[in-house]
Amino acid sequence: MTDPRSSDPGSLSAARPPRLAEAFLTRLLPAADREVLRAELTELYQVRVESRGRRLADRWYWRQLWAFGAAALRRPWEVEAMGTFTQQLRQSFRALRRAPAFTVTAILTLALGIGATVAVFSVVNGVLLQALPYPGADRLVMVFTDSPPNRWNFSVADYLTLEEQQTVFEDFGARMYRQMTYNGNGVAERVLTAHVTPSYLTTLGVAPSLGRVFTPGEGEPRAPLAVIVSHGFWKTRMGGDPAAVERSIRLDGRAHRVVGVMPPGVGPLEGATADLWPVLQLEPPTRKGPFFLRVVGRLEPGVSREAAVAELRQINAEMFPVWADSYADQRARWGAISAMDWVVGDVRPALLVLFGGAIFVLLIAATNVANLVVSRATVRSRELAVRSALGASGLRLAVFQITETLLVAVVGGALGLVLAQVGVDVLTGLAPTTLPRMGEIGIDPSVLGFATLTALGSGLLLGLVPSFGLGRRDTTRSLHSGTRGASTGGASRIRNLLVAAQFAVALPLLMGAGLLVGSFANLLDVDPGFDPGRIVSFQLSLPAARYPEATDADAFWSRLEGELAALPGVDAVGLNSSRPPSNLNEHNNFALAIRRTPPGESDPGAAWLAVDRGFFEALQVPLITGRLHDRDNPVPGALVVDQRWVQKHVPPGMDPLGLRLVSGSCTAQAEPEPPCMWQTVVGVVGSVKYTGLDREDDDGAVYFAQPTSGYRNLFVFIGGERVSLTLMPQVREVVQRLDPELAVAGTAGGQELLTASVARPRYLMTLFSVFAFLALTLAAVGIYGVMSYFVSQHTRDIGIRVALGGQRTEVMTMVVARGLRLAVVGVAFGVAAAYVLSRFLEDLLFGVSATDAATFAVIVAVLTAVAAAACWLPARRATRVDPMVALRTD
Amino acid sequence: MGKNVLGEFEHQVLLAILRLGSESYSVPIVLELEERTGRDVAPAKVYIALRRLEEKGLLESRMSDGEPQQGSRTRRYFALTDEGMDRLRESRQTLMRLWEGVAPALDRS
Repeated sequence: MTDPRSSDPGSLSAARPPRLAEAFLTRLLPAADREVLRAELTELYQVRVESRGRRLADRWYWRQLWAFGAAALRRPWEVEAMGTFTQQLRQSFRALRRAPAFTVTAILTLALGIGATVAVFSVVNGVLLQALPYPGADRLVMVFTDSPPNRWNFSVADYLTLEEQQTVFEDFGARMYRQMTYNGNGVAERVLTAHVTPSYLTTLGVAPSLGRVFTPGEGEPRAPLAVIVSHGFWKTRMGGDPAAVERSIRLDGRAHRVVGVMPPGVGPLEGATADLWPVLQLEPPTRKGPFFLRVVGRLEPGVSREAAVAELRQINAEMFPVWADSYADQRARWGAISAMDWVVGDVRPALLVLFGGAIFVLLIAATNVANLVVSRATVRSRELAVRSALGASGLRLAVFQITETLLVAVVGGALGLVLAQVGVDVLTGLAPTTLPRMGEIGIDPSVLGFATLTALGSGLLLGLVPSFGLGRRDTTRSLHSGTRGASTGGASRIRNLLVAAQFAVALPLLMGAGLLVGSFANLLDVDPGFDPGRIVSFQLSLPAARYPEATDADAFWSRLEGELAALPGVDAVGLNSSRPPSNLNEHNNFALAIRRTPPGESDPGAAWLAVDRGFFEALQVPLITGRLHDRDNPVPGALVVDQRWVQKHVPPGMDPLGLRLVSGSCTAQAEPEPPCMWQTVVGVVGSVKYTGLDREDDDGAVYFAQPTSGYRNLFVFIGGERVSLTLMPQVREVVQRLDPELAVAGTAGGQELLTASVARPRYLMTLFSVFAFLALTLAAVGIYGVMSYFVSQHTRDIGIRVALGGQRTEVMTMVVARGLRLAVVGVAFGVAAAYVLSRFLEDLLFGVSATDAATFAVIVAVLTAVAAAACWLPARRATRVDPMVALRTD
Repeated sequence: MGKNVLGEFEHQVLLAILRLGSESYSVPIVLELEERTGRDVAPAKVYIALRRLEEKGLLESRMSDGEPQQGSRTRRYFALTDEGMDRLRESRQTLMRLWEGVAPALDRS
């Protein structure tokens, strides 16, 4: 090894220190000695390369960054020049006020990006991040019968067995949602009820703000009925009277004693969704079914969900033989998921995709501002050079720069928060009612923290951008160059990079929006199986107290249909226990006579619907083969099925007519005995959607005759060429006349039913499109700004070119091509990014692939066209350059 | 630290310059210190010490454009001022007095 001190420095290895470290380090060095120090550090670095090797030398060099950084903060060369923080702030403030165009544009752009991101974050926060609003909510789990893909409810038999044997839950309870008719103040109305066991309330840890919870005794069969009312119900229907507790109210014709009033906003798990909480009394079961209970458990402290599931399976396996004759599905096991997952359900991916979209908008907005900052720094390079010449170090200039962008970001962030508040109102206002936890969304401390971090982070990063972009400032050159300041190669490189990046970020967003729009269009194209233009429908529920026998109910329905059919313009009136296209109330298992389900396997299932002949007539569902139910005298056991059912359950080529089947709990029995009996397919009708337009693989439908079913809760459908919602007052009149205690609920025309069923995809599509539009606009503004700047910087060159006889179109092409090159590079990266990101969208799309080539092509074309248009404006300005004027400038 | 107190590191830097003589710019100073103390020495620390010693009037510096054949590197060369020399002499005498007679005791332990 040579002794570096005596050797000629020129003979040392010419190793260069790590570039990035050098760039940073240079900025930290005191201005007066910068060049000397840099050279000396390089020399020391080279000595180290010789003596210890490159890797260690590199590491050593990076360490000097810390050493000088710490020294710079502690020590002499800056402190005197830096001034106090307030001075610094005041200085930045003045500088910003002198450049209102920059300041306002930067603030508004950032506010837009931050506002969008914070608004969506507050939704993500409220729905996905915040714990459910119950004490110790992380220990709450939903218990169900797991038979993938279905999660069946518990039956009373299940529930009572669980109660007897379980050791993993501190507490658990069951719930059942229903609708009941409330008769108060002489008016009948439908109310949403959550029937709960007394233990359900203690499991959730909720308590009435007035009155008390249910006593265990009130949960016993045949105990006097008790009810807890929601805060809203108490306020609106009981006048907020504290004496309401202990009063009696009539529900479905039966007296219930009010024992408590819930605090506002408290709901039975899925949010404030119930008006009333009647007590749920469980009769000892005679068979395993029916299954209608949702069970919530609170795990014992220290018991994991996995341990709980293991015990649940154990209990289930043991109880299975007990009920073998009424339930044969051995694949079904008990399972449990966290209450949080249960409530949030399938909303998570959509929300996260939306959040990703918002972050992309923020990225593009920030990139735009970065561009502004860089061009501002370029324009100001003379001012900065003066400061530098006066002794301000790179560090000091960087601090100056960062204070300025931080100031912009903080104001932008504050404004963004205001926008976010508006955004949250819009987001929740537009949200379909089926989205969970919408009531819990708002600007809370976490959201504020997120907004602050976003704003400060943007401010810091934006402040650092020019230091990267401008490279080492050549003080002398900047001072000598024109007033405009020199646009260094570094600055325009970074601006070009930023523009390309914007297009790269915009593309996946537009792609997402394009796919969601296409998917939504596909959804609207789905044939719901009925003609939505000519129907209205509503729901009626007959209280069991006043319609005790099946014949009472049937008599009412037939009188109602008769009266409604007599209304002007009405062609047909029908009944159904479910309502298409996305309201299925009953899904039943069955066994075909031609193919009995082998022991231990799951029966096939299908939508199970009580209808009369009028339903098919009102909705104009075509009869394909066979016949419909008789109007007045339906044959017991005669079934109508739909085409989808035939397709799914009948071997190809076999005539479905005459097929025999048993349903539900009768399937396990070898030879059905009354009340289990063979039923026979007598007709096949067109398929109608009941489980949503996007479900292509539903199980088909089995229609049995309503007039023998004694159903008390049905949807009524009125069909006719000119039937619309304007008919409803007359309909209400008819209902009132027949039974003044009945409440007409859920009124909707066919078109509204379709609209409501696609509310979620429409919501996602709308929001994503808004983001994509913002992104496109911002990217266009970005490229426009850069190309305008390019033209203004090259006025002289263009002038010369024109003076030398260059064609104006040539100039134009040159400018546009230059801009387009940036956009195309960005788009290319964007396509790659979109391809990678597409898998996040896959599950949210219907009938379109996440990598759909046509959508890609359209989006690429749109982006390129927008870029071309944005470049065209400055290009046109370039062609108008007067050579004489251009040459005289500068 | 008062203006007239010499820190240990400053002391070491002065000694290194004394030893290096006319070759005293920061690179050899750092290397000299590393060689003598057997530890890595941070250039930032040396730089600060040099500045401080100059402020105290113990050092003076001149810029030199490197000789053309050496690649024209600009360097800041340091030299002890008379005051700096005095201070070193003083501290040496003080230390000698303090050390007088204690060396054997150290060797025993």
